[in-house]
Amino acid sequence: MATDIEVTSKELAIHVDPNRERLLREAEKELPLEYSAGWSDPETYFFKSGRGVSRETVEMISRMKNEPAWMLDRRIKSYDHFLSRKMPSWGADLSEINFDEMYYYIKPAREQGKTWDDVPQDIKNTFDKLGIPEAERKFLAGVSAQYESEVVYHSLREDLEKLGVIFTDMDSGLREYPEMVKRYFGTVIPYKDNKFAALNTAVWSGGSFVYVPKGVHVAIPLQAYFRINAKNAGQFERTLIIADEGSYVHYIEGCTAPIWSEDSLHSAVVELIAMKDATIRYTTVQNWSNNVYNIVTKRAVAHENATVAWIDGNLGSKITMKYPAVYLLGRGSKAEIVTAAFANQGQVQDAGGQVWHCAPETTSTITSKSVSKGNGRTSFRGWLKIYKGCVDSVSAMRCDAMLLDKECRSDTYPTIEVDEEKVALGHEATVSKIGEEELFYLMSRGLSEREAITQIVNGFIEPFTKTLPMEYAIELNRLIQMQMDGAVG
Amino acid sequence: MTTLVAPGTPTELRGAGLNSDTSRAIGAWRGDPDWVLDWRAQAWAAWETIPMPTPTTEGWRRTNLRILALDKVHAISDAVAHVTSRADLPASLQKAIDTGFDHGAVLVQENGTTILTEVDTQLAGTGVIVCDIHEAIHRYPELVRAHLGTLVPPRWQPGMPSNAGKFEALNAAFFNGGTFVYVPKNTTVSLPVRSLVYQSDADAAFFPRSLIIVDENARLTYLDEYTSVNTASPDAPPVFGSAVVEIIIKDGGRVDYTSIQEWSLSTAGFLTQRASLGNNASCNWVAVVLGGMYTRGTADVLLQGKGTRADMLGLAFGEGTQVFDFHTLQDHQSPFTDSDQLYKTAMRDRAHLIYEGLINIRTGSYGSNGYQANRNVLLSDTAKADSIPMLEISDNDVLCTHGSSVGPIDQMHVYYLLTRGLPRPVAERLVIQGFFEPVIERIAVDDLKDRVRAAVDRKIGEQG
Repeated sequence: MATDIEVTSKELAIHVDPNRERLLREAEKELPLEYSAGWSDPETYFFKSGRGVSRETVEMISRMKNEPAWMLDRRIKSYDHFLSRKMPSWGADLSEINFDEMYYYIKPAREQGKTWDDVPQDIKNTFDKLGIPEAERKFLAGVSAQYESEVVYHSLREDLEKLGVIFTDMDSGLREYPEMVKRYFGTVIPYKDNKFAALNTAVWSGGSFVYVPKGVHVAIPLQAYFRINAKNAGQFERTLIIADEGSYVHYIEGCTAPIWSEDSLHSAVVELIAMKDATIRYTTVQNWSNNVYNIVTKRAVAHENATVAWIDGNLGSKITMKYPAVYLLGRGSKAEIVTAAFANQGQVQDAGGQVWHCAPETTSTITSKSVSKGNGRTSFRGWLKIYKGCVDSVSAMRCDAMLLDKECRSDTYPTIEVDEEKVALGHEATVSKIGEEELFYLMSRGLSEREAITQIVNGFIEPFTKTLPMEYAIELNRLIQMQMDGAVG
Repeated sequence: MTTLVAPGTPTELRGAGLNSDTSRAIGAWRGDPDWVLDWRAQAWAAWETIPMPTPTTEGWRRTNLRILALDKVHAISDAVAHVTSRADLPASLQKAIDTGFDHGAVLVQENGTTILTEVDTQLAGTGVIVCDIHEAIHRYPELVRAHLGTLVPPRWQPGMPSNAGKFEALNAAFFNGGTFVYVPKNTTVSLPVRSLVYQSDADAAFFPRSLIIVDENARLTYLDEYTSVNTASPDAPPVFGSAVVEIIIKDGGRVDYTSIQEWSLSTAGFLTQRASLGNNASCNWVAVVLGGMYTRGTADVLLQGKGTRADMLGLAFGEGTQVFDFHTLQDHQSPFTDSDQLYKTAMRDRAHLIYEGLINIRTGSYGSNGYQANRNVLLSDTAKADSIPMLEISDNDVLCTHGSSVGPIDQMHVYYLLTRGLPRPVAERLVIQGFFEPVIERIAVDDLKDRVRAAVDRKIGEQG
């Protein structure tokens, strides 16, 4: 009989530091409260393409990167497909994207840095201000920093390198591991998948290539940091992560951009492959400035007993359309998608998750938390599909939306398709405003209204925050506090 | 009154297809006034303009319309003779309406013709009108003209999706038969008013259009039933039709509406039911769908007035290759409006359920609550359920929740009954009945609860 299902998430609660709460509170007090990533650097680039995209642009990018013929061929096919494909008619309004105004390829420096000292001073300053080198020293196993179209800095801890872990930018990956890239590139997200995946495949540059060998457990996270600096820049990074049998990897990405009046476009493609018994966690905290169109295709395949977790936080951007997906191909594989979205004045966060159960005994959870403020608009789109024969599969989808103002809007569109009888599947969603009683209670304890609301919102998205490493949880709480203050937008 | 409606279908209409000439001829034969003729013409134009939905059209992605053979369908069948009393009805119809409870009024329609009208004399004395829709157009032209098509317009209107209303337009162009009910202010109709629409001509389409108006502070209980025959051979195109029901509830009014669709398994039809609620009005709405090889059921409640409340209940049991394609809307347009929906379905064999429900809370509808639950049970491993519960919320002072689930029958419940000595088929039937009971329990009128239980039991019992 169909009943409500609760699937508890053990995988996700990774950090159980008893002092976590206290540390979070203390950290919050010290941090500045404005969009601190909003500055821009002068443009002293090694190379910048002209505006617009054409077959010549595509060929030029491939030539500059000295790519093998198959990749050029793939790029050209993708470009043709991009032209023939109509803009998506559903979801957010994308009619204002002007593909002809964008710069599709900007190479900021001649060479990639092996140490921070090799990185050009301006760019290094940028990443210094964002705290990346410090974070690397403190708690990361590897760092990749992408500025415009190219990865300008990249490092991996030596011990991991010795174990055979590959963490490099996608361009180097194609050069150094051509067989592996050729074998897996575009297998999870073919270029015909959608218009923006086609565009990405045509003009991709940068992104990460990660391979974790059999049985290797990368205990501390790898991080990639993405920065758009130029006006009207398009960033099309391409990431491919392969976790071989029994391995574990946690990959984190962060994104910021300056506040320009002209719009920029970030259209990434991220493919994850989790082999038998492997686990991939992929965490995103997206804080683009609110002139960036963020349209990203993310998809993973999970083989037998593998686990894929997408942790996806969307705070910035003008319009985000992003629906991380997991195809559960192997028996006993698991998918966990946790998304949080905050739409402030003028923002559209059209996010969600997609899980296809293609094998028996597969489980999935999708948890979505969204907050809308001002005239901000959040949408949740979920697609849960259980194919025939996927017996004993269990899935739970839950989305909660909080509306802070009269003008905001929240939509929920979960699609559930079930072709198999022996499964248990449930979906629950709620939409509400902040509880008057909660607010009254906190204010009676001496909090101002703003502080009280911030506390309640932080509590509301706690299921998301608790899946983040400590440093990110602090950053996220701070970002939310900033949003509440109206310092942005 | 019967003089207005010609006794037999004119010869030129016999076997006529779905085209503008037929639409006009039906209007002429029905003696339509100019405004209705014009209305039919607009509807025909809409049918021709609105593109036929395809599997790429939003809201129709899971729908297969290729089973229809619209070029072979006759637009109208031969009119059936009136009968003077219940005893003269064909045995099957007699059995269908003789369900052991009293009615305030009964209207029986066969192939678009009202063959029996029974209205309780006391009821007629209060000013309540229950009659055939064509009769109402002639006798109460102002009342009908002011309301007909206000909820389900004959043509596309701004704000509707571009492909919406195609089969509703087809109904308007050819409408033949349907029930008209008017309940005056402050009047309570305590005994159910009942309409039975029966299609006995498998070659002709059915296009009934009902209009129910409940005036201020009035109250009505209405039972709306649909049945049809099987086609002569299994290879013949399905019996086809599109039925429309408009229910207008004015300030303070209340309607308990129960519809039971028991079409034959060779029928492919559209059933569009839409209600509007004025200030403080309420409705209890139950859609029971058991028959049809393909049923597209559209159930919309428009909460237009302040303080309105709508309960929307749905129940479907599918077997064989039946397809149920349900689309519901809870449209909150005013402050302090409440809606509560519960759709429960059980699918057996290769049956396929599609549920797409939307709660729309518009800007300014503060203090509103919307609830939506869709629970589906798959009784065999070839059955299929797609559930899409949607929320569009544009005001923050609201509480909205929805839930949906899909799963097999609970074997622990079955096991319990088996240990009590019941054979498995009986145990499973009991569990299914128990699963539906929360829906049936919420039907406001006891007699109707029994009527629905009987229909569901008959359907489950067919399987043994």
